[in-house]
Amino acid sequence: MQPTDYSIVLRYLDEPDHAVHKAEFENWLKKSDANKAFYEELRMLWEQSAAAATYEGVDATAATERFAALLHQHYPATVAALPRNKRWWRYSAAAATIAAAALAWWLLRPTQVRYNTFTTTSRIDSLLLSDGSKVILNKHSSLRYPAAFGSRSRQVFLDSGTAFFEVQASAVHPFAVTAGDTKVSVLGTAFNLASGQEEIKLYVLSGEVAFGSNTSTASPIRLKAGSGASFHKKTGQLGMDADVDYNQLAWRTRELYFRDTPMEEVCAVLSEHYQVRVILENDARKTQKLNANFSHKTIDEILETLNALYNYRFEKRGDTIYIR
Amino acid sequence: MSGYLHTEEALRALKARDPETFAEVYRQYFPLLYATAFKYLGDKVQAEEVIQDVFLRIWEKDFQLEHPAALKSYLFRAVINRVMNHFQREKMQRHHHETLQNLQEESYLCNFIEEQELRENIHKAIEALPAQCKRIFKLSRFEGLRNQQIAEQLNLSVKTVENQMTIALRQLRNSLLNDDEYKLTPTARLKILLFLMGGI
Repeated sequence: MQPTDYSIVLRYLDEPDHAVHKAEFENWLKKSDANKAFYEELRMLWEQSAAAATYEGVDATAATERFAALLHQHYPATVAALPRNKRWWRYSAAAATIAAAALAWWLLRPTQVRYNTFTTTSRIDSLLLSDGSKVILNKHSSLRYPAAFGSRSRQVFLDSGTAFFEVQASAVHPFAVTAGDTKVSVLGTAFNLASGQEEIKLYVLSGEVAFGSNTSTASPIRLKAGSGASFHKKTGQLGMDADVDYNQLAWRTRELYFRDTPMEEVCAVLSEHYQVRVILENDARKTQKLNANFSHKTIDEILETLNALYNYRFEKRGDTIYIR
Repeated sequence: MSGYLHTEEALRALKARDPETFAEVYRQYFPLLYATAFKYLGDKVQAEEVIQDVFLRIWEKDFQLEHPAALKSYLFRAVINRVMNHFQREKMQRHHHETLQNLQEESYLCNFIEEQELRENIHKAIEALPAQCKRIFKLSRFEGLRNQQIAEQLNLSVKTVENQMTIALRQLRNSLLNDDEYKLTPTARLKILLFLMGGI
């Protein structure tokens, strides 16, 4: 295959909705079966390489040394010494010294907190906070955070939109996110917080968090990994979600899950995630259930799947899609 | 990175309980098993504990496997069972229940393992790309940025980004689909392609 073949497929994969690139790609695809097979290979690599991100930062050597230490701890008689070299221990001892020095400096420095604002418009962006915690901010969202955290706590504000937090663990400095009238306090965890017009939704991916409201005297709810809670702005009600909506994370993972989901709800989810209006015109199909996973798919690919598998027909008018 | 152990050697090492080779087997299978546990648990510490637990149990008991070929599926099964136990303990029965239940079936598990191995190999191949090329490719595939956005962020022309992406994809295709550097047999490759094309 020639470099131009790569370019044609790449431009299409990069921006499947780009009219010129799409037409160029479709013409090229029709030319031969070899082109089709080539496209399938590149599409597979394209999709799977996004999933390969799971292997980013996995340090098998360090993990093996931790395991060797564990084995030695359990069976000091049989496993006399660490079988691997002790590099990892040296590094971790050095890291601990640096961490202790940094902590001392951090605790002793004067506390004058100035806030920066991080706002996204048309694309998702991420931010590394001064403590090493990571924030991934969805489109059209805004976060206020101190340039450096003070000595007492780590406080940030989600002023609008949705954010995913991966909080660096710290036993002494709780990390707190304020969104509207609610506050999420954690020690070290990963969670998703969406501050919408009507409600503020929280989903905890790992660790444990406390979710409370400033306007209510009730004590905060403790949420474990895999659970979610919502705060309704109008009523001031704060409660656990009975059914966790896995698609809350879809803006970041680009994976959508439907489990016995009524088509009406499917359309609502698609509307939200692809920022188009998807309207189900056929009342009889509103309660029909869908079971499917879509990973890194464009809205067109999803519609084509619905058409091929369940015979749904769709029509685009302006930025609205009608499904029948 | 040291040499790759064949399944027979790995099996022998697990049975013999020689700390050195035992650790070698651990290191070799860690990324695949860890990624699997992490996928469902979503917690790095818990995921690593699952892998440690599986290998501690192998160390403790008289480890027997009839066919060396079954080693990989044995390890994956052990990890998946522990993940399910974890959810049950934490009263999270519904969590990924269906997917995990499906993985009890050999054919699903086979496809799942192949997909995980493919991803691990893709990651290795990405790591082997030239620095600038790797950076651009990761921004595109890991961070989900469009070529245009990458060009703006790195102050490059869109053309340059496209060229680098082409180099990256060509190298990935050559090393993963044309060579047997990553030990993917043609049948395995075909199965993966069919599986991925059939799946929605």
